[in-house]
Amino acid sequence: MAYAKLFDSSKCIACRGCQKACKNWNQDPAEKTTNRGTHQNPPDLSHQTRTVVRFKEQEGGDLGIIWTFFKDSCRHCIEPACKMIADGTDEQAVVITDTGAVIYNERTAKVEGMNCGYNIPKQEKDGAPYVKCTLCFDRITNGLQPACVTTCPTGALEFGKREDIVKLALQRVEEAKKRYPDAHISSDYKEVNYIQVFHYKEDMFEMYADREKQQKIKMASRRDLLNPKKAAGMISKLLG
Amino acid sequence: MTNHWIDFANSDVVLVMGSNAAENHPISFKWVTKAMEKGGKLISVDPRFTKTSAKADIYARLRSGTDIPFLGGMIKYILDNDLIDKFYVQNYTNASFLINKDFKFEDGLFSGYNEEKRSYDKATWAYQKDANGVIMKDPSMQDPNCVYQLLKKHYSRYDIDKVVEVTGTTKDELLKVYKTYTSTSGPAKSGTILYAMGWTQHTVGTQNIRTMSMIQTLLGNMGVAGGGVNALRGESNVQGSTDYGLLFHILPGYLKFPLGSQATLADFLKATTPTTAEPQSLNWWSNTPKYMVSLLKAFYGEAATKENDFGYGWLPKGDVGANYSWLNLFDQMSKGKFTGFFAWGMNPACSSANAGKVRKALGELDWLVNVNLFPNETGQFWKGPGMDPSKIKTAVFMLPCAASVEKEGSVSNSGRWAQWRYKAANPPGEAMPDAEIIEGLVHRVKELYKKEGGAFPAPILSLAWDYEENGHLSVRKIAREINGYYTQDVPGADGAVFKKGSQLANFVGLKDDGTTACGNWLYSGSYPEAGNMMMRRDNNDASGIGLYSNWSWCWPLNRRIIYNRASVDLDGNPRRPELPVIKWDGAKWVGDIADNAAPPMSDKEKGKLPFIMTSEGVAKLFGPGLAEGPFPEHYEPLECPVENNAFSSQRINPTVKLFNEKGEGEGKDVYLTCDPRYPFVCSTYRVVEHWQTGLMTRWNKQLVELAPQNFVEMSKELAALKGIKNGEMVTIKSPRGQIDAVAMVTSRFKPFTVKGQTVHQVGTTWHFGWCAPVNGGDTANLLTPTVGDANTMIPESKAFMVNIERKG
Repeated sequence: MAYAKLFDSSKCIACRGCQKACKNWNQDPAEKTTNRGTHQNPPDLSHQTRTVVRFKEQEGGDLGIIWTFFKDSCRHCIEPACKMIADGTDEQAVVITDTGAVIYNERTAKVEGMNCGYNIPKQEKDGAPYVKCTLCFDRITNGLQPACVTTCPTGALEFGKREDIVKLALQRVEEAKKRYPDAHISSDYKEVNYIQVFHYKEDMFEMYADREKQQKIKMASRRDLLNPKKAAGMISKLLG
Repeated sequence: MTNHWIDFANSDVVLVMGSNAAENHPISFKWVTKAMEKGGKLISVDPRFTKTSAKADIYARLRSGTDIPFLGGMIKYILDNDLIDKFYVQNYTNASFLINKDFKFEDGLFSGYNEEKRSYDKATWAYQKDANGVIMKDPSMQDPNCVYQLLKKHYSRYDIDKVVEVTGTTKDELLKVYKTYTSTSGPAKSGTILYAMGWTQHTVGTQNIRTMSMIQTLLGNMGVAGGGVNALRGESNVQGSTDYGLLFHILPGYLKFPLGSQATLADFLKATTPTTAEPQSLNWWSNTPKYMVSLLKAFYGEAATKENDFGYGWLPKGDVGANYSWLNLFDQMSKGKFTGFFAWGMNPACSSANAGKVRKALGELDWLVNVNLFPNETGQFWKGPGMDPSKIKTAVFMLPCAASVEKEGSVSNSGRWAQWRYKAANPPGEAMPDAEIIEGLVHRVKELYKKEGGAFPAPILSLAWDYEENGHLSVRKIAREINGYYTQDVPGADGAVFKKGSQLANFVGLKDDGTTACGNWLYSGSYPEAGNMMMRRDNNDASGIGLYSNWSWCWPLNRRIIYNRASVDLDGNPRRPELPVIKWDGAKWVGDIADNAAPPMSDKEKGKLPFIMTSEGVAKLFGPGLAEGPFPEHYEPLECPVENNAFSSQRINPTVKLFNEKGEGEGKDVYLTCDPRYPFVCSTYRVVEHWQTGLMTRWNKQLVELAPQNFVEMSKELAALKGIKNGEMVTIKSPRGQIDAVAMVTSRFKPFTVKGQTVHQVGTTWHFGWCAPVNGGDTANLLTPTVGDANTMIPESKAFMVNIERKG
């Protein structure tokens, strides 16, 4: 069964319960952080932080200020670029499951030229395994929801069958439009299992994802499937 | 709260003012979000654009400390545009009541002010009464001395231009808020207010809330689904702590604290039991004698007899006119008036206003017992910043206690629901539940009195203390005593007998003759013979409006929306049939538990008015109970950026207590207003990641990861003015102390234009302390002034003056 997860920015209050629920379930340690003049912490995803709520504030909009929150984590692509790259080294390093979850394991440590248009996979240091969200594969295959979804108080995060989540997302867009005329679904929603609804024109997704880069990685990977070194070289060339 | 969390989903307009609910009460947004999904509007009013504002339909900023002008302007808007709920105001409020002709208001002062005592003689703040003591009324509300006309006159001064000038809000924003909120007038719609410390922590805190209560009353929003006045409590069980009389001025169940002038039980009951001559007023507090005697029976058991006034003489009494609140206690402590102090589940070295004063005061004690989960800034004050341990005489004892999940008991949430919680784990090491620590103390103190006698041993030796069950202290046994039981066989109806020792069904059975004992009348009904109602977990909702009446238990009598008789017409029919709270079916009320079983108002003989807790039976638009006056009036914060109050020549609340010291410096009780050295308004607040002084969160690495250091939010304009860059360390100074914090430069703060002048406001949190985490910073309460609301003494932590500089 293919599942999907939805993030609806119109309902997110940035309580960051999802961030902590994720660390709690995955037993990921806390990072040492400082306040850098923003409420966002840790500053980015890391091998210890599989999801982070990003804060962005801009002037404008009906209220004078647009303050948006975006829960960034693996999109669980239906055709993941990382999988294409990894297959060049080891077809078992990145696994697509029938739940829709894209799963990494220890073998990603050896993958050459790992890349992602969303900048998701992180490693502790060169040669260490890559770490990212598992879509709580171990929970969802045991009848539970992902930890982040369970903890969300407002319904900003939802989880379910992919077709239901797509339907819900489109319905959420229509609901959000009553309040926010620019509400829209993330432009990649047909390609991923982590779908977003954004309530402002400024697309948070666009800020943290480079779809063009993602396509280039995929193209390069396809062309040089059997030669990972060449593929990696091609990718860096393509990306300049 | 008059209503409850789930009920927010029933609102057509949710006003969040004096609160940042999305940040500090995230679960509230489960229900606010539901209201919005149904088309409800969310209004956020705050000096700073918050997470709540980010979700709002309307956002309006105001300078901290100007809520009364903001809301007073709304009262004027309602009256000018005739937007009152006429039926409601005429029938369920005191709008038509006539007030003493000598009652006056002139230049910021009501009649009866005594400048020397900084208090009022309230003699003229009274109703005109006829020979039978019945209040005189003018149903046409035209008499110049009727409440409605006096109200109109008082708020005629709050015209929009003046309001805008004082609050710094734009006229456009202000009108948007007024228009949207007042759209809830009448039965067809309801509006709710969610407030928290943003309203209470001012020298006019109580009056802030009263102003909104008046608006809710004028619009007919009290007692209805999706309405009410709802305090979002800052601690999971703070509602319970006030219900149980943890504050200095009340006993359990909000019975009054006895005074030295009330020598006998009869004196006390005479002074504290209100009477009424109003024909349809129930005057619930007329039951005071039953509740008080039953409480004394719970305190002293068989030792309490009719002959000895049920032990009333053993109760401690307050001095007339004295105030035993927090600020006064620590003031006395700083003057060496205390030998010992139990800091129980508290961290005053960080939580108290002017914490520097408290840290010094702790050094005046002979001993300090710190009961807490972790060592904290209070228990370790002697080795804190600027302290010389060799010069401090205080002996400090640390008693580790169990956390909430390591013990069993009830927790009362903001919506008055008492929910039973079970023990999930054993406390670590020597830590014990608080109740067991108290029990150990009681037994040892009793033992000492028995052995050594003492000045007045009777109150201690007579104390009934029998909470053991199977060799352990049982909180269930305490809960049964709170509910109340019969102290002897009592005949019931139809020859039945209530057996001695059996549980009362609820407070209706309480007596003033010593035949019943009850630890807290408000909670009577929570543990009847049928068992512990607080343990109920039935999540079916028969009401259709989210009452969930069989989930846990709520005071009083499991009534989920109080004053619900105001939601029906005179015949008992819901004024809003699609959201019915209660309905009279001809013989009884159905729906929520009605505010008393009496028939509706149209029954002239037995029918009762809806506001049963007031002696008038109605909501009081004219409310003579508070220190400052019967109508809320604007006074500036003690420290403020303006030299004059635009509404009168009284700059500050004329009834606040002033703690004045000469000079300036750390922990001193000094105030500076309009002083160029402290030009910026400052507020303190909280973030979702930390809790209170951070004792339960600052040691948690996962939470510290999210919020590692204290910060100060400021506008881009102020940062430019002071040459401050985002993310750099700055020093915030007040006349009483200073702290370092990381600058967070944001467009969410904007300078205000107040009387043509630019006023900057900044904000910081009070979560941190020097113990942990490393580089976290110290509490913002080192900056706040020792001054409290004139009624509650809650400190003014939301509006005081500071300076801010790059850390040099």
